[in-house]
Amino acid sequence: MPDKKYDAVVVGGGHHGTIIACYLQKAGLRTAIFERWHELGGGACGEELPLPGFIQNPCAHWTRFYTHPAYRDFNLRDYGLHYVFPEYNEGWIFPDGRYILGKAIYEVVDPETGESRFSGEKAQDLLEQIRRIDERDAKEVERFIEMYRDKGRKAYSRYRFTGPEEWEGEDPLEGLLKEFPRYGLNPDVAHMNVGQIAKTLFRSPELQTFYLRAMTTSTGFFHQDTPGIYWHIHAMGLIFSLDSAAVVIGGTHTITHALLRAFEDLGGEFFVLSEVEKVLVRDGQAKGIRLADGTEIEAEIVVSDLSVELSLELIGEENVPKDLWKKAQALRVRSERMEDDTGYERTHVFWGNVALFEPPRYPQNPNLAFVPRLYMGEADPHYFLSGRFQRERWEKGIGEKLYLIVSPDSQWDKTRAPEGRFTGILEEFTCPWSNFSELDWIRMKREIVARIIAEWGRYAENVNMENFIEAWISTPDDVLNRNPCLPSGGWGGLSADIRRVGRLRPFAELATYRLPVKNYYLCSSAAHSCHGIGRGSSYNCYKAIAKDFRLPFRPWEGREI
Amino acid sequence: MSREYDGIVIGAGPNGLTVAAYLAKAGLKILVLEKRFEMGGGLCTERVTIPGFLHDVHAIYHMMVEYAPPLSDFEFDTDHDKPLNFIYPDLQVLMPFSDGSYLALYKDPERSYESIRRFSEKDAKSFLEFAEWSEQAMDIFLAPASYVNPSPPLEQAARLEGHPVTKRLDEMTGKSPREIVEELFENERVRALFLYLSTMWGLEYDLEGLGYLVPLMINRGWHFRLCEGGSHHLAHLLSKVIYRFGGMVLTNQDIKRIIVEDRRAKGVELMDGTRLYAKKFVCSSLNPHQTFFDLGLEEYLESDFVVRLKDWQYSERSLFTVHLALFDLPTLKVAERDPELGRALIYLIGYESEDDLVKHFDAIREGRLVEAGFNLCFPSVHDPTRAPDGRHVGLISQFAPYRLQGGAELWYRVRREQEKRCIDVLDRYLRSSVEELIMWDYLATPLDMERKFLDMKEGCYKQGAYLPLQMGAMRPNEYCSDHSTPIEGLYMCGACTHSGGMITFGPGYCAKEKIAEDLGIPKWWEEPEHVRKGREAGLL
Repeated sequence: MPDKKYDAVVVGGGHHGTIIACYLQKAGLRTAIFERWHELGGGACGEELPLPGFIQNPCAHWTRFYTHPAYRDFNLRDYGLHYVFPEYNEGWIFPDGRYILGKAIYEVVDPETGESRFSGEKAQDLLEQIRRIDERDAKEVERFIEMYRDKGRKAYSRYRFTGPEEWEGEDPLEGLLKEFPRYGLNPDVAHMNVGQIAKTLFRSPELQTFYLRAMTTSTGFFHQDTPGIYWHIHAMGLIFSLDSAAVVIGGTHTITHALLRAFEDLGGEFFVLSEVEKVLVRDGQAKGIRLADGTEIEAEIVVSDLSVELSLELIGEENVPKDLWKKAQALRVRSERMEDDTGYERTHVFWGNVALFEPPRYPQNPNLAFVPRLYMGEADPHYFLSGRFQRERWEKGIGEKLYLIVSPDSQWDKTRAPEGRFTGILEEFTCPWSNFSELDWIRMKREIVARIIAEWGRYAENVNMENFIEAWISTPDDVLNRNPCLPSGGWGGLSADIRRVGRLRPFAELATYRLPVKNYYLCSSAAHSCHGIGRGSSYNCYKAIAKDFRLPFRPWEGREI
Repeated sequence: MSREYDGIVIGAGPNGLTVAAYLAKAGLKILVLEKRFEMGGGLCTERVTIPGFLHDVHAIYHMMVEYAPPLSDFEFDTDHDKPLNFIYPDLQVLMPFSDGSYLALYKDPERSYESIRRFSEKDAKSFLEFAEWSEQAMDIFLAPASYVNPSPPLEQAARLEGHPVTKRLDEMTGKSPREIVEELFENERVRALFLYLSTMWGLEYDLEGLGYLVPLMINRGWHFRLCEGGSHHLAHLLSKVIYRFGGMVLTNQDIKRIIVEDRRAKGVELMDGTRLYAKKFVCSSLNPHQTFFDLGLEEYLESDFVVRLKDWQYSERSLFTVHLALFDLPTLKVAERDPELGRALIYLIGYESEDDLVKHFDAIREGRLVEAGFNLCFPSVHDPTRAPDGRHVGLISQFAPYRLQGGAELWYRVRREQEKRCIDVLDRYLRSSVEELIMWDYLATPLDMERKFLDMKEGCYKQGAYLPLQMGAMRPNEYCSDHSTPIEGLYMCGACTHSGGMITFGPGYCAKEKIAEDLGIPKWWEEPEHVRKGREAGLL
């Protein structure tokens, strides 16, 4: 096998690896991706689960990749990436039969591009529903929507798709925060914990519960964690159905395929079952990589799509400043107390698909069956604020009182299930992988199915074992087995609380995507802007490379992001 | 991305990928469109139990590796991808019986002879002679015939009759597999083994008229290989060839119709209205009903042809498979005394006699699910990359009806029950129950197969039954047996064409040959050695 030379190599074919490879290749750099598994995509994956004929997203599910610059930059629609935009967005059903049913306030007017427009009517519809719960809460939400419409949406997008190097003085959200008082919004949300925010912003137990539970879905944070302004806006946007939900036809793995096809069309190459063992360093510079089979490949630029500690391990302790090495290794240390989070102790879920003979029916309102993000549970903020929600899961794995969210995939994407059948994904939270043994996780993988059906069946009249075909629920053990960059089995990877966002992510000295050795970069979600499909880390990392190497391909110039 | 191509291939299974790879390398701009979210068709390898365990959910036993031209025509090793490697275990098939005896087939027929001898000296001799003859028959005809377009039946029969080796094939044609096996062997258990092999890929035990396939099926019984890293790796490497030569493979493509203009196939239209044009050809790897009825071609077809299409039948027998992620390997009773017996590629479990097998076939015909035998494999024993260290994958593949009494949809209700029956049967041959060793499982029923692969109607993985009127120059019918169709510019390359199903690449290989000839495309490939010899012998 001839040892080749590339201009750039990407270590790890995860989601961000597949994105940055396209940018590098288009910039004229001969680029190759090296992936250790038999397929690429990382969290942007899909499997034929829970049984053949049904498609599941074992990891990333709620994606809006059409908002990522790459969607346009590489014409991903032509390579098979299509979205549908459900009218409904987020909802909540309470046990007494009341419900909140949100429709996308920024409705998509052009499905081809995802171009959207603010709908005053939909906003009013939602506010009216909230008014019926609590007048003051509705006013709070109204103020937030106004801020979001005026400035928040743009600032949020800019924050995501720009990096610390581009922020002169304040970052886009710090700038936004200054405007909060003008809209009657409390800027202290920037440093409050989740519980405090819920209690300060909302009076009704319904909305407090909604905020507490929904924040956990997005971030893995519990009541004592501090989300910061980024995640606060993110959570609010979802809870109040601001931006349209989006369902990718064929499942999340389609995103990976589209990126790889575009990459190949540009002349890029990718290799599977090709684990990288080492990044070669000479004179303080990255010079290429060595594969597990001993092959050495020269490259001028090396980009890592791995976790920060794995990225540093690839260059070896001798090439990393002592304190940085220690800090990175310490991320993997298990927290002593459940309130602590040394690095990876959030975002642990039971997360998986249930296949049913027929779609769920909700007597409260038939349209609830079409809500892409539907919560079910009692309006009981105390359950969260007291710490019980977190503690039960930390100690037992499966909570005593479940708060499910369900996404009815096949209602929107007919490729996910055979005609007439149903598949939907459900989520409930659990604890870090190391709290239980492998055998326990397998036991819980089975147990959680019956618990889910029972709980879901309290709200959907036809969800029961008669209607049940099969289920495959992912546990932290599965996540760990799937991805070495998620060492505690949490899908979000490196925690994203206020200590580790923006200029501090993953550490202040690594926040510009440059690793300690020259020409070695970090593009994964361990960098800003954190976890999730279509976030900005790979795009921003490319910007840093483009700057260092004076690359001509700079699509962000002359446009918003 | 281009909108215009030289050729469009519908379906990215092994045959579609073969057509695309050969013609892309010949300099044509090729687009392959796949409906599923993943390309590769039956060459799929998935993480459907616990991540870290790889399962070949469909194609696993590769049976024509030494003959399939694509495996030697393409340079798969030119870059850093894991190389293509087939694992060919010594002990190919082991059939243990409940009294502790067993039959073993090895790569080396002499060793198999020793094993059969313990049951019947006569059968052992018969086997050895048959093995030797079948190797010759494979080399001179059965293998090469898979890679050339078929001759008309009478002509073919005459050719076979006129050659000393293949004369015997011709004589066998009119006999059923059971007849052939019973003529060769007298022992009940030896008969069970060889009848299983003869019928393993869907040939019905009492079907007369396709007897010439029996030697092929039996011979392949000691030529099975696994693809290291999983069957999908083969599809991956084929797709790399396509990309290397400027082609494209797109998934999640929902085709509405084949565009016909001026009585010529010009391209395809997708469900969303996108039109993709092909200057030179469109090649469908789908089944005949999909190609001609579902893709809007009926108005261009003569009524005779339509009648022939409607005649097309699917198999009455499919597969029920159980995929296991195992904490550890279960110990077979038969391997307790001889650990080497724990390294067979395929175990035939649960049939104690030929009668057991026939009873199973009869139950299948009636749509009844019963406790019955199956074949068993632990791929990770031979390919450790498929499981984490020390752990294993297991596979149970059982013949099963698509059409249950009560309808195929009933499979959703009874799948777990049938798994239990399989486990119960398996446990009888194990030192202790396999249950405690199962980390997780994944089932695939005949209904699931149809739902996963839309071309495998009624769970027929050959896209059409092996029946005398559906083989050779009649596959799929006399209008399309050379892989062209009554519509100019439209070709077919799926398993519903010659040379049928399983991973052989025969249909794709033959189709690309026809396309190249029709379009005057210079061939960069050479005629396979075995084809050349077959022609020289006057057999092709």
